[in-house]
Amino acid sequence: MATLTCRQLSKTYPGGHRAVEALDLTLEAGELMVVVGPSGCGKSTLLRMVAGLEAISGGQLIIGGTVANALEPAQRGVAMVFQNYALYPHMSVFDNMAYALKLQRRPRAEIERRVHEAATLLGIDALLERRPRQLSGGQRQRVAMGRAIVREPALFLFDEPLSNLDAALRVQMRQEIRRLQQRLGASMLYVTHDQVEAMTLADRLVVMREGRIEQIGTPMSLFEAPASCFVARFIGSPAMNLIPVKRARDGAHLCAGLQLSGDPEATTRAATLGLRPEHLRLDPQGELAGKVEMIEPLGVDALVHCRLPEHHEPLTARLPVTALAASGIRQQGAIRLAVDGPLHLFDDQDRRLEHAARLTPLSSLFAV
Amino acid sequence: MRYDRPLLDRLTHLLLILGVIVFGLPLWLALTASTHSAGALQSGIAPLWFGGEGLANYWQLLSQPIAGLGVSALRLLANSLVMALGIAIGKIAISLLAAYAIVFFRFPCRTLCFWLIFVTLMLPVEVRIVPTYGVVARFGLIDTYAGMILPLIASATATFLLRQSFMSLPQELFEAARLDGAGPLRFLKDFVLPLSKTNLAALFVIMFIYGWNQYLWPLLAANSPEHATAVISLKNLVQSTDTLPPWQLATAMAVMTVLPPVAVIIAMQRFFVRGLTDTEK
Repeated sequence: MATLTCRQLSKTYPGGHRAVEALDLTLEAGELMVVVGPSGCGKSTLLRMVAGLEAISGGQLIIGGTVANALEPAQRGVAMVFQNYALYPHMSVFDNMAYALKLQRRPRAEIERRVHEAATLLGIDALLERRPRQLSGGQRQRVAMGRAIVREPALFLFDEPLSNLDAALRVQMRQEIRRLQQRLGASMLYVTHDQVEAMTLADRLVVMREGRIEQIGTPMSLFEAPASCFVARFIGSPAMNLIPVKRARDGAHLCAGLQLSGDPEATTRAATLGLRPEHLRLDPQGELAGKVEMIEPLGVDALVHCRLPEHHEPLTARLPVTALAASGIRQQGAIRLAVDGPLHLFDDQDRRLEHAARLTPLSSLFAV
Repeated sequence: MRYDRPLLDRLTHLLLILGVIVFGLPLWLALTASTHSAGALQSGIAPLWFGGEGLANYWQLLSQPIAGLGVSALRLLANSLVMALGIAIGKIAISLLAAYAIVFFRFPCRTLCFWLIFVTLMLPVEVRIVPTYGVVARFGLIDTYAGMILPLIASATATFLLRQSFMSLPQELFEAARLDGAGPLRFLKDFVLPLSKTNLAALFVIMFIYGWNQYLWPLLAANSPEHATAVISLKNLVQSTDTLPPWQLATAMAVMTVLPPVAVIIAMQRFFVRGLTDTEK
């Protein structure tokens, strides 16, 4: 179990494309850190640089206290689980798991013991004589993890390991990875583009965008206080509603027929208002009035997409199905919603503003 | 795609049978002629059924030196085998390494190297025979096995085929093996070879037959009877100035020359089938 430290780590491809730019990161021993971001954000490049599959263009990579920039992949003490598992097709499950140990010229008895221990841990001890093609997707996934565990690495690397599984199996394997990580106390760096996977697995979450870190923190801190519009949109499902704040001549800050009042620092600089779909509720006196465009029932809750006046993107609310039925709201009908949670404000650079502002209906301005 | 049309089925079968006859008849004639005595063949009419001299003809070829060559058929077949095996194994070894380098390593002018190799497809030995002969002669390799084999063992075709086969191996396999501590040679031995064995077997068949059927180059490079090949001896057997050619011997030699490639195909075909049903790619 080792720490991983990246200091100003960079990757520039020969064509001049900068995949990772001056990245600083510390992964504590025994921590599961998930790197998440859209495709092309550099998360896989980062992982491959740590693994040694990609040359490092700048900065320092320190694994367990030693600078690993120039070390061969096998000498870094890292094990990787690949997206398509990369099992050795012509070898049995046992040989797949034993291969690294065989190359290390470990004694036969030790190899057998370690492979069997890992196989038992993963529940694949009955499959050791099989070939990879005789295994199901979930079993292959386990073998791929077994191959990593057998090596007793200082650091596990996961490259979107669950994206080839069906939804049910993905949930199950996700929990299994988490359980395994806690049991082994292993340090893990886990790359995914799936934000649900990221939220549920991570001790700490790293959101990357265009080769840079957008925000690091616990999943809940990112959910509660996204540092930018990008993170706000990326973390949480369905995504946060982002409504532009318009500036009127008289200096009032309006958005969708509403006024932003309170903290002048926030109200003068806010460019975007963020509202989580979960933080909206049905209320006949609600400050947000709109027209329902579509209702997507999810079971307990339904996603209601409505259109606000003067705002082009639909506003999504997550509402209980029972409340929706009771209020008789249907498609193309009118709806009023109240904000029942924090307002997220972002400045014109899309950065988060700490504030104490609230929404008031524009009409109340005239009522005063 | 399978069509259920009885007439079409019959037509295609008819075509196939015709094809078998066209290709099989000369072989059949050679086989039957090789079992007759010299006298029986002098009439000029090819017999369509076996005669009674088969064993004697073959035994004569295998045990006695062939007139005009001075070595027995056994020696000729052995020479052919050495050359064909040398060419097949040499071609596979060289193109294996070339294709491995081109697919799995990043080095300057990699694509250029590949296309340079590819261009040599246009330079078979017949085209470059004069300079090749010069080079081999300067090395003092004329009339040696090495001289017969070496100029033929670079193969653009095999390199190209192996390159395609290697490119179908997933890149992650290479990366996973690297993380497990396998170096390039180890990866070649533990992964590339076992995973391309069916391709290698196919190439071996093709290249063995290519080597076995060489005529022009061994004719030049092996000018003593000790290095003559079976294919070359056929020409010697049908060439006689004052008498009729010994057709019974020529046809028997032809039959014996045909057999080793057939044996290789049959042996390797079994391997193909096993390789195909066992495939895990």
